[in-house]
Amino acid sequence: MSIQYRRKLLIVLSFACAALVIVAAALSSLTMLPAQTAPILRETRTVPAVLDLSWLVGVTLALYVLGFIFLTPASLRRRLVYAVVALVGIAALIVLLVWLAGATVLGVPPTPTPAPLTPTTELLETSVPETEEPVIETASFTPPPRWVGTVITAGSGLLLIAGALFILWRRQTQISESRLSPLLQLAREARLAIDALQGGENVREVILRCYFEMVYVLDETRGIRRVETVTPREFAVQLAALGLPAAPITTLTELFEAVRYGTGPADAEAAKRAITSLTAIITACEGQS
Amino acid sequence: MKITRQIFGGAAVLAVGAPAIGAALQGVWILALGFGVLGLFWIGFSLRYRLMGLAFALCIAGIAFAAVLDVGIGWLLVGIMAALAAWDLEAFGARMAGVARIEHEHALVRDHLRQLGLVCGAGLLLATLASLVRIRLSFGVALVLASIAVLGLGYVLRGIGE
Repeated sequence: MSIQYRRKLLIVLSFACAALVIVAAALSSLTMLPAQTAPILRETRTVPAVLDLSWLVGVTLALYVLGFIFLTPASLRRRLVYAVVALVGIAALIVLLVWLAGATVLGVPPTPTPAPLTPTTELLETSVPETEEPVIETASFTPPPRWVGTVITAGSGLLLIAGALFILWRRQTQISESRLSPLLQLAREARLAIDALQGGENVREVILRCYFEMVYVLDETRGIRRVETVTPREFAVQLAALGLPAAPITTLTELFEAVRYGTGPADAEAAKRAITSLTAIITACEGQS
Repeated sequence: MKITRQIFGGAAVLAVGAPAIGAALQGVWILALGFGVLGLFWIGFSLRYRLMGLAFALCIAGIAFAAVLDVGIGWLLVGIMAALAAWDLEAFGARMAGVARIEHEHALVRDHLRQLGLVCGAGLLLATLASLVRIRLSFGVALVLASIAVLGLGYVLRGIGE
Protein backbone atom coordinates (compact mmCIF):
# COMPACT_ATOMS: atom_id res chain seq x y z
CA MET A 1 0.00 0.00 0.00
CA SER A 2 1.55 3.28 -1.07
CA ILE A 3 1.95 6.25 1.20
CA GLN A 4 -0.42 8.36 -0.87
CA TYR A 5 -3.07 5.69 -0.78
CA ARG A 6 -2.60 5.26 2.95
CA ARG A 7 -3.03 9.01 3.47
CA LYS A 8 -6.13 8.96 1.33
CA LEU A 9 -7.57 6.12 3.41
CA LEU A 10 -6.78 8.04 6.57
CA ILE A 11 -8.57 11.16 5.29
CA VAL A 12 -11.61 9.15 4.24
CA LEU A 13 -11.62 7.36 7.58
CA SER A 14 -11.49 10.69 9.41
CA PHE A 15 -14.49 12.02 7.50
CA ALA A 16 -16.40 8.79 8.02
CA CYS A 17 -15.69 8.78 11.76
CA ALA A 18 -16.69 12.44 12.08
CA ALA A 19 -19.95 11.77 10.25
CA LEU A 20 -20.57 8.71 12.39
CA VAL A 21 -19.99 10.64 15.61
CA ILE A 22 -22.34 13.43 14.53
CA VAL A 23 -25.06 10.96 13.55
CA ALA A 24 -24.56 9.07 16.82
CA ALA A 25 -24.82 12.31 18.77
CA ALA A 26 -28.07 13.10 17.00
CA LEU A 27 -29.60 9.69 17.69
CA SER A 28 -30.59 10.64 21.23
CA SER A 29 -32.79 13.44 19.91
CA LEU A 30 -34.37 11.24 17.28
CA THR A 31 -38.15 11.52 17.40
CA MET A 32 -40.62 9.58 15.35
CA LEU A 33 -43.43 11.79 14.09
CA PRO A 34 -46.78 10.58 12.81
CA ALA A 35 -47.00 10.09 9.09
CA GLN A 36 -47.82 13.10 6.96
CA THR A 37 -48.82 13.50 3.40
CA ALA A 38 -45.87 14.52 1.32
CA PRO A 39 -45.91 18.14 0.22
CA ILE A 40 -45.99 17.05 -3.38
CA LEU A 41 -49.36 15.38 -2.84
CA ARG A 42 -50.81 18.38 -1.07
CA GLU A 43 -49.99 20.76 -3.83
CA THR A 44 -52.63 21.42 -6.36
CA ARG A 45 -50.23 22.77 -8.92
CA THR A 46 -47.45 20.85 -10.53
CA VAL A 47 -44.73 23.49 -10.64
CA PRO A 48 -44.36 23.87 -6.86
CA ALA A 49 -44.45 20.09 -6.58
CA VAL A 50 -41.30 19.86 -8.68
CA LEU A 51 -39.68 22.61 -6.67
CA ASP A 52 -40.35 20.69 -3.44
CA LEU A 53 -38.18 17.88 -4.77
CA SER A 54 -35.10 20.07 -4.65
CA TRP A 55 -33.92 18.50 -1.40
CA LEU A 56 -34.29 15.03 -2.90
CA VAL A 57 -32.34 16.04 -5.96
CA GLY A 58 -29.68 17.63 -3.76
CA VAL A 59 -29.22 14.51 -1.63
CA THR A 60 -29.12 12.31 -4.71
CA LEU A 61 -26.52 14.46 -6.40
CA ALA A 62 -24.44 14.57 -3.23
CA LEU A 63 -24.51 10.78 -3.05
CA TYR A 64 -23.45 10.58 -6.67
CA VAL A 65 -20.52 12.88 -6.06
CA LEU A 66 -19.46 11.01 -2.94
CA GLY A 67 -19.77 7.69 -4.69
CA PHE A 68 -17.74 9.03 -7.57
CA ILE A 69 -14.98 10.20 -5.29
CA PHE A 70 -14.81 7.36 -2.79
CA LEU A 71 -15.75 4.25 -4.68
CA THR A 72 -13.79 4.70 -7.87
CA PRO A 73 -10.14 3.74 -8.17
CA ALA A 74 -8.03 6.33 -9.89
CA SER A 75 -7.46 4.08 -12.87
CA LEU A 76 -11.19 3.79 -13.55
CA ARG A 77 -12.23 7.30 -12.60
CA ARG A 78 -12.19 8.77 -16.07
CA ARG A 79 -14.12 5.91 -17.57
CA LEU A 80 -16.73 6.08 -14.87
CA VAL A 81 -17.89 9.42 -16.17
CA TYR A 82 -20.21 7.42 -18.40
CA ALA A 83 -21.70 5.80 -15.31
CA VAL A 84 -22.24 9.19 -13.70
CA VAL A 85 -24.04 10.37 -16.79
CA ALA A 86 -26.25 7.30 -16.58
CA LEU A 87 -26.96 7.97 -12.91
CA VAL A 88 -27.89 11.56 -13.65
CA GLY A 89 -30.23 10.23 -16.29
CA ILE A 90 -31.82 7.90 -13.76
CA ALA A 91 -32.23 10.78 -11.33
CA ALA A 92 -33.90 12.85 -14.01
CA LEU A 93 -36.14 9.92 -14.78
CA ILE A 94 -37.11 9.56 -11.12
CA VAL A 95 -37.93 13.25 -10.87
CA LEU A 96 -39.98 13.04 -14.03
CA LEU A 97 -41.86 9.98 -12.79
CA VAL A 98 -42.59 11.59 -9.43
CA TRP A 99 -43.70 14.75 -11.16
CA LEU A 100 -45.98 12.80 -13.44
CA ALA A 101 -47.35 10.77 -10.52
CA GLY A 102 -48.02 13.95 -8.60
CA ALA A 103 -49.73 15.54 -11.54
CA THR A 104 -51.82 12.44 -12.07
CA VAL A 105 -52.84 12.14 -8.45
CA LEU A 106 -53.55 15.80 -8.09
CA GLY A 107 -55.34 15.93 -11.34
CA VAL A 108 -58.17 13.80 -9.96
CA PRO A 109 -59.05 15.31 -6.64
CA PRO A 110 -62.00 13.97 -4.76
CA THR A 111 -65.09 15.70 -5.95
CA PRO A 112 -66.71 17.46 -3.04
CA THR A 113 -70.38 16.73 -2.74
CA PRO A 114 -72.21 19.95 -2.13
CA ALA A 115 -74.51 19.59 0.82
CA PRO A 116 -77.45 21.83 1.43
CA LEU A 117 -76.73 24.39 4.03
CA THR A 118 -78.62 23.89 7.23
CA PRO A 119 -78.44 25.79 10.47
CA THR A 120 -76.32 22.97 11.93
CA THR A 121 -73.71 23.10 9.17
CA GLU A 122 -73.59 26.85 9.41
CA LEU A 123 -72.73 26.55 13.07
CA LEU A 124 -70.05 24.00 12.29
CA GLU A 125 -68.51 26.22 9.67
CA THR A 126 -68.24 29.07 12.11
CA SER A 127 -66.50 26.89 14.66
CA VAL A 128 -63.88 25.53 12.24
CA PRO A 129 -60.49 27.06 12.98
CA GLU A 130 -58.73 28.99 10.26
CA THR A 131 -55.73 26.68 10.28
CA GLU A 132 -57.68 23.86 8.74
CA GLU A 133 -56.57 23.05 5.24
CA PRO A 134 -58.72 24.46 2.50
CA VAL A 135 -60.86 22.19 0.43
CA ILE A 136 -59.14 21.15 -2.76
CA GLU A 137 -60.65 22.81 -5.70
CA THR A 138 -61.95 20.79 -8.56
CA ALA A 139 -59.57 20.56 -11.50
CA SER A 140 -60.11 18.95 -14.82
CA PHE A 141 -58.08 15.77 -15.49
CA THR A 142 -55.66 16.17 -18.36
CA PRO A 143 -53.67 13.04 -19.14
CA PRO A 144 -50.03 13.52 -20.09
CA PRO A 145 -49.28 13.66 -23.78
CA ARG A 146 -48.61 10.41 -25.55
CA TRP A 147 -45.00 11.24 -26.25
CA VAL A 148 -44.25 11.35 -22.53
CA GLY A 149 -45.02 7.66 -22.15
CA THR A 150 -42.99 6.86 -25.22
CA VAL A 151 -40.01 8.83 -23.98
CA ILE A 152 -40.18 7.22 -20.54
CA THR A 153 -40.41 3.71 -21.95
CA ALA A 154 -37.60 4.25 -24.43
CA GLY A 155 -35.45 5.99 -21.84
CA SER A 156 -35.95 3.21 -19.32
CA GLY A 157 -35.02 0.61 -21.89
CA LEU A 158 -31.93 2.51 -22.92
CA LEU A 159 -30.87 2.97 -19.33
CA LEU A 160 -31.30 -0.72 -18.61
CA ILE A 161 -29.23 -1.63 -21.64
CA ALA A 162 -26.59 0.94 -20.69
CA GLY A 163 -26.48 -0.40 -17.14
CA ALA A 164 -26.07 -3.98 -18.33
CA LEU A 165 -23.32 -2.92 -20.74
CA PHE A 166 -21.59 -0.98 -17.99
CA ILE A 167 -21.65 -3.97 -15.64
CA LEU A 168 -20.24 -6.19 -18.37
CA TRP A 169 -17.54 -3.63 -19.17
CA ARG A 170 -16.64 -3.26 -15.52
CA ARG A 171 -16.33 -7.00 -15.07
CA GLN A 172 -14.22 -7.27 -18.21
CA THR A 173 -11.97 -4.48 -16.96
CA GLN A 174 -11.50 -6.18 -13.63
CA ILE A 175 -10.65 -9.45 -15.33
CA SER A 176 -8.15 -7.78 -17.63
CA GLU A 177 -6.61 -5.93 -14.69
CA SER A 178 -6.19 -9.15 -12.78
CA ARG A 179 -4.37 -10.60 -15.80
CA LEU A 180 -1.54 -8.12 -15.78
CA SER A 181 1.66 -9.37 -17.19
CA PRO A 182 4.31 -10.41 -14.66
CA LEU A 183 6.42 -7.43 -15.61
CA LEU A 184 3.59 -5.00 -14.95
CA GLN A 185 2.87 -6.67 -11.64
CA LEU A 186 6.52 -6.45 -10.78
CA ALA A 187 6.47 -2.76 -11.72
CA ARG A 188 3.49 -2.19 -9.48
CA GLU A 189 5.18 -3.88 -6.53
CA ALA A 190 8.36 -1.95 -7.14
CA ARG A 191 6.45 1.33 -7.23
CA LEU A 192 4.84 0.52 -3.90
CA ALA A 193 8.23 -0.26 -2.42
CA ILE A 194 9.59 3.09 -3.63
CA ASP A 195 6.65 4.88 -2.04
CA ALA A 196 7.31 3.08 1.21
CA LEU A 197 11.01 3.95 1.09
CA GLN A 198 10.30 7.61 0.43
CA GLY A 199 7.71 7.56 3.19
CA GLY A 200 10.35 6.71 5.74
CA GLU A 201 9.58 3.04 6.20
CA ASN A 202 12.30 0.75 7.47
CA VAL A 203 14.78 0.18 4.64
CA ARG A 204 15.43 -3.43 5.57
CA GLU A 205 11.76 -4.34 5.62
CA VAL A 206 11.11 -2.63 2.32
CA ILE A 207 13.94 -4.39 0.54
CA LEU A 208 12.91 -7.76 1.92
CA ARG A 209 9.27 -7.23 1.00
CA CYS A 210 10.11 -6.06 -2.48
CA TYR A 211 12.32 -9.02 -3.14
CA PHE A 212 9.89 -11.63 -1.80
CA GLU A 213 6.96 -10.10 -3.68
CA MET A 214 8.99 -10.15 -6.85
CA VAL A 215 9.64 -13.86 -6.27
CA TYR A 216 5.97 -14.45 -5.50
CA VAL A 217 4.70 -12.65 -8.58
CA LEU A 218 7.02 -14.56 -10.88
CA ASP A 219 6.02 -17.82 -9.25
CA GLU A 220 2.30 -17.17 -9.50
CA THR A 221 2.19 -15.78 -13.00
CA ARG A 222 5.04 -17.41 -14.88
CA GLY A 223 5.69 -20.48 -12.84
CA ILE A 224 9.28 -19.40 -12.23
CA ARG A 225 9.89 -20.78 -8.81
CA ARG A 226 12.95 -20.00 -6.85
CA VAL A 227 13.71 -23.37 -5.31
CA GLU A 228 15.77 -23.59 -2.18
CA THR A 229 18.83 -24.82 -4.02
CA VAL A 230 18.90 -21.68 -6.19
CA THR A 231 20.76 -18.83 -4.60
CA PRO A 232 19.55 -15.25 -4.97
CA ARG A 233 22.32 -14.51 -7.39
CA GLU A 234 21.43 -17.48 -9.58
CA PHE A 235 17.84 -16.35 -9.51
CA ALA A 236 18.93 -12.89 -10.59
CA VAL A 237 20.58 -14.43 -13.60
CA GLN A 238 17.31 -16.17 -14.47
CA LEU A 239 15.42 -12.88 -14.22
CA ALA A 240 17.93 -11.16 -16.42
CA ALA A 241 17.41 -13.92 -18.97
CA LEU A 242 13.73 -12.97 -19.00
CA GLY A 243 14.64 -9.54 -20.27
CA LEU A 244 14.85 -7.61 -17.05
CA PRO A 245 17.86 -5.29 -16.68
CA ALA A 246 20.75 -7.12 -15.13
CA ALA A 247 22.50 -4.29 -13.28
CA PRO A 248 19.64 -3.09 -11.07
CA ILE A 249 18.56 -6.68 -10.42
CA THR A 250 22.05 -7.48 -9.27
CA THR A 251 22.08 -4.42 -7.04
CA LEU A 252 18.75 -5.34 -5.54
CA THR A 253 19.89 -8.88 -5.02
CA GLU A 254 23.01 -7.66 -3.26
CA LEU A 255 20.93 -5.41 -1.06
CA PHE A 256 18.66 -8.33 -0.29
CA GLU A 257 21.60 -10.50 0.64
CA ALA A 258 23.02 -7.75 2.81
CA VAL A 259 19.86 -7.16 4.81
CA ARG A 260 18.80 -10.81 4.88
CA TYR A 261 22.05 -12.47 5.82
CA GLY A 262 24.12 -9.54 7.03
CA THR A 263 24.16 -8.12 10.52
CA GLY A 264 24.78 -4.45 9.77
CA PRO A 265 21.88 -1.99 9.61
CA ALA A 266 20.75 -0.73 6.22
CA ASP A 267 21.64 2.93 5.84
CA ALA A 268 20.43 5.83 3.72
CA GLU A 269 22.92 4.96 1.00
CA ALA A 270 21.35 1.53 0.66
CA ALA A 271 17.95 3.19 0.40
CA LYS A 272 19.19 5.43 -2.41
CA ARG A 273 20.63 2.46 -4.28
CA ALA A 274 17.41 0.54 -3.78
CA ILE A 275 15.35 3.42 -5.14
CA THR A 276 17.64 3.81 -8.13
CA SER A 277 17.52 0.09 -8.87
CA LEU A 278 13.79 -0.15 -8.52
CA THR A 279 13.29 2.90 -10.71
CA ALA A 280 15.43 1.31 -13.38
CA ILE A 281 13.45 -1.93 -13.14
CA ILE A 282 10.19 0.00 -13.45
CA THR A 283 11.41 1.90 -16.44
CA ALA A 284 12.57 -1.30 -18.10
CA CYS A 285 9.31 -3.09 -17.33
CA GLU A 286 7.19 -0.26 -18.67
CA GLY A 287 9.35 -0.01 -21.74
CA GLN A 288 9.00 -3.71 -22.45
CA SER A 289 5.27 -3.71 -21.85
CA MET B 1 2.38 -14.88 22.95
CA LYS B 2 2.11 -14.95 26.68
CA ILE B 3 1.47 -11.26 26.95
CA THR B 4 -1.15 -11.53 24.19
CA ARG B 5 -3.00 -14.20 26.19
CA GLN B 6 -2.76 -12.14 29.34
CA ILE B 7 -4.11 -9.02 27.69
CA PHE B 8 -6.83 -11.06 26.00
CA GLY B 9 -7.88 -12.42 29.40
CA GLY B 10 -7.97 -8.94 30.86
CA ALA B 11 -9.95 -7.59 27.94
CA ALA B 12 -12.44 -10.46 28.13
CA VAL B 13 -12.92 -9.90 31.85
CA LEU B 14 -13.46 -6.20 31.22
CA ALA B 15 -15.79 -6.92 28.30
CA VAL B 16 -18.19 -8.90 30.47
CA GLY B 17 -17.36 -7.31 33.82
CA ALA B 18 -18.12 -3.68 33.02
CA PRO B 19 -21.61 -4.35 31.59
CA ALA B 20 -22.24 -6.80 34.44
CA ILE B 21 -21.46 -4.10 37.00
CA GLY B 22 -23.67 -1.65 35.16
CA ALA B 23 -26.50 -4.17 35.03
CA ALA B 24 -26.09 -4.95 38.72
CA LEU B 25 -26.20 -1.26 39.60
CA GLN B 26 -29.38 -0.98 37.57
CA GLY B 27 -30.81 -3.95 39.46
CA VAL B 28 -30.91 -6.32 36.47
CA TRP B 29 -29.26 -9.21 38.25
CA ILE B 30 -30.13 -11.83 35.69
CA LEU B 31 -28.24 -9.92 33.00
CA ALA B 32 -25.25 -9.48 35.29
CA LEU B 33 -25.28 -13.21 35.91
CA GLY B 34 -25.52 -13.83 32.19
CA PHE B 35 -22.45 -11.70 31.57
CA GLY B 36 -20.62 -13.66 34.23
CA VAL B 37 -21.46 -16.98 32.61
CA LEU B 38 -20.44 -15.60 29.22
CA GLY B 39 -17.12 -14.49 30.65
CA LEU B 40 -16.38 -17.93 32.03
CA PHE B 41 -17.42 -19.47 28.74
CA TRP B 42 -15.27 -17.07 26.71
CA ILE B 43 -12.11 -17.27 28.76
CA GLY B 44 -12.42 -20.92 29.64
CA PHE B 45 -12.93 -22.25 26.15
CA SER B 46 -11.08 -19.77 23.99
CA LEU B 47 -7.75 -21.53 24.37
CA ARG B 48 -9.17 -24.89 23.34
CA TYR B 49 -11.65 -23.90 20.66
CA ARG B 50 -11.98 -20.92 18.38
CA LEU B 51 -15.05 -19.16 19.66
CA MET B 52 -14.15 -15.71 18.46
CA GLY B 53 -17.34 -14.99 16.58
CA LEU B 54 -19.81 -16.62 18.94
CA ALA B 55 -18.56 -15.20 22.24
CA PHE B 56 -18.08 -11.76 20.76
CA ALA B 57 -21.54 -11.78 19.20
CA LEU B 58 -23.12 -12.88 22.48
CA CYS B 59 -21.27 -10.17 24.35
CA ILE B 60 -22.35 -7.46 21.91
CA ALA B 61 -25.93 -8.73 21.99
CA GLY B 62 -25.90 -8.61 25.79
CA ILE B 63 -24.54 -5.07 25.74
CA ALA B 64 -27.22 -4.01 23.26
CA PHE B 65 -29.85 -5.57 25.51
CA ALA B 66 -28.36 -3.73 28.48
CA ALA B 67 -28.60 -0.47 26.55
CA VAL B 68 -32.32 -1.08 26.11
CA LEU B 69 -32.60 -1.56 29.88
CA ASP B 70 -30.99 1.87 30.49
CA VAL B 71 -27.77 0.53 31.94
CA GLY B 72 -25.17 3.28 32.33
CA ILE B 73 -23.64 4.13 28.98
CA GLY B 74 -20.13 4.34 30.40
CA TRP B 75 -20.12 0.71 31.48
CA LEU B 76 -21.40 -0.34 28.07
CA LEU B 77 -18.83 1.69 26.15
CA VAL B 78 -16.00 0.17 28.14
CA GLY B 79 -17.53 -3.25 27.63
CA ILE B 80 -17.83 -2.85 23.87
CA MET B 81 -14.30 -1.57 23.54
CA ALA B 82 -12.90 -4.39 25.64
CA ALA B 83 -14.95 -6.94 23.71
CA LEU B 84 -13.53 -5.65 20.43
CA ALA B 85 -10.02 -5.83 21.85
CA ALA B 86 -10.56 -9.37 23.15
CA TRP B 87 -12.01 -10.46 19.80
CA ASP B 88 -9.05 -9.01 17.94
CA LEU B 89 -6.51 -10.49 20.31
CA GLU B 90 -8.10 -13.91 20.12
CA ALA B 91 -7.93 -13.81 16.32
CA PHE B 92 -4.39 -12.48 16.45
CA GLY B 93 -3.37 -15.27 18.80
CA ALA B 94 -4.97 -17.86 16.54
CA ARG B 95 -3.07 -16.53 13.52
CA MET B 96 0.19 -16.52 15.42
CA ALA B 97 -0.39 -20.03 16.70
CA GLY B 98 -0.85 -21.27 13.14
CA VAL B 99 2.65 -20.25 12.10
CA ALA B 100 5.53 -22.56 12.85
CA ARG B 101 8.22 -19.93 13.22
CA ILE B 102 7.73 -16.19 13.45
CA GLU B 103 10.51 -13.76 12.76
CA HIS B 104 10.65 -10.75 15.07
CA GLU B 105 7.73 -12.05 17.05
CA HIS B 106 8.27 -9.67 19.92
CA ALA B 107 8.27 -6.62 17.66
CA LEU B 108 5.22 -7.90 15.79
CA VAL B 109 3.25 -8.40 19.00
CA ARG B 110 4.37 -5.04 20.33
CA ASP B 111 3.29 -3.23 17.15
CA HIS B 112 -0.05 -4.99 17.11
CA LEU B 113 -0.74 -4.17 20.74
CA ARG B 114 0.27 -0.56 20.22
CA GLN B 115 -2.05 -0.17 17.23
CA LEU B 116 -4.86 -1.96 19.03
CA GLY B 117 -4.47 0.33 22.02
CA LEU B 118 -4.50 3.35 19.75
CA VAL B 119 -7.65 2.22 17.97
CA CYS B 120 -9.41 1.32 21.23
CA GLY B 121 -8.46 4.63 22.81
CA ALA B 122 -9.63 6.64 19.82
CA GLY B 123 -12.82 4.61 19.58
CA LEU B 124 -13.58 5.06 23.26
CA LEU B 125 -12.92 8.79 22.99
CA LEU B 126 -15.18 9.21 19.97
CA ALA B 127 -17.92 7.06 21.50
CA THR B 128 -17.78 9.05 24.74
CA LEU B 129 -17.92 12.27 22.75
CA ALA B 130 -20.93 11.04 20.82
CA SER B 131 -22.70 10.00 23.99
CA LEU B 132 -22.13 13.38 25.66
CA VAL B 133 -22.95 15.71 22.78
CA ARG B 134 -26.55 16.34 21.83
CA ILE B 135 -27.28 17.43 18.28
CA ARG B 136 -30.57 17.73 16.46
CA LEU B 137 -30.37 17.02 12.75
CA SER B 138 -32.90 17.08 9.98
CA PHE B 139 -33.60 13.88 8.13
CA GLY B 140 -31.79 14.98 5.00
CA VAL B 141 -28.61 15.94 6.84
CA ALA B 142 -28.66 12.73 8.86
CA LEU B 143 -29.12 10.75 5.66
CA VAL B 144 -26.18 12.45 3.98
CA LEU B 145 -23.95 11.99 7.04
CA ALA B 146 -24.92 8.35 7.41
CA SER B 147 -24.20 7.83 3.72
CA ILE B 148 -20.81 9.46 4.10
CA ALA B 149 -20.05 7.21 7.06
CA VAL B 150 -21.16 4.04 5.29
CA LEU B 151 -19.43 4.84 2.01
CA GLY B 152 -16.27 6.03 3.73
CA LEU B 153 -15.95 3.04 6.03
CA GLY B 154 -16.71 0.69 3.15
CA TYR B 155 -14.02 2.34 1.06
CA VAL B 156 -11.48 2.11 3.86
CA LEU B 157 -12.27 -1.53 4.57
CA ARG B 158 -11.97 -2.41 0.90
CA GLY B 159 -8.68 -0.53 0.69
CA ILE B 160 -7.28 -2.36 3.68
CA GLY B 161 -8.49 -5.66 2.27
CA GLU B 162 -6.70 -5.04 -1.00
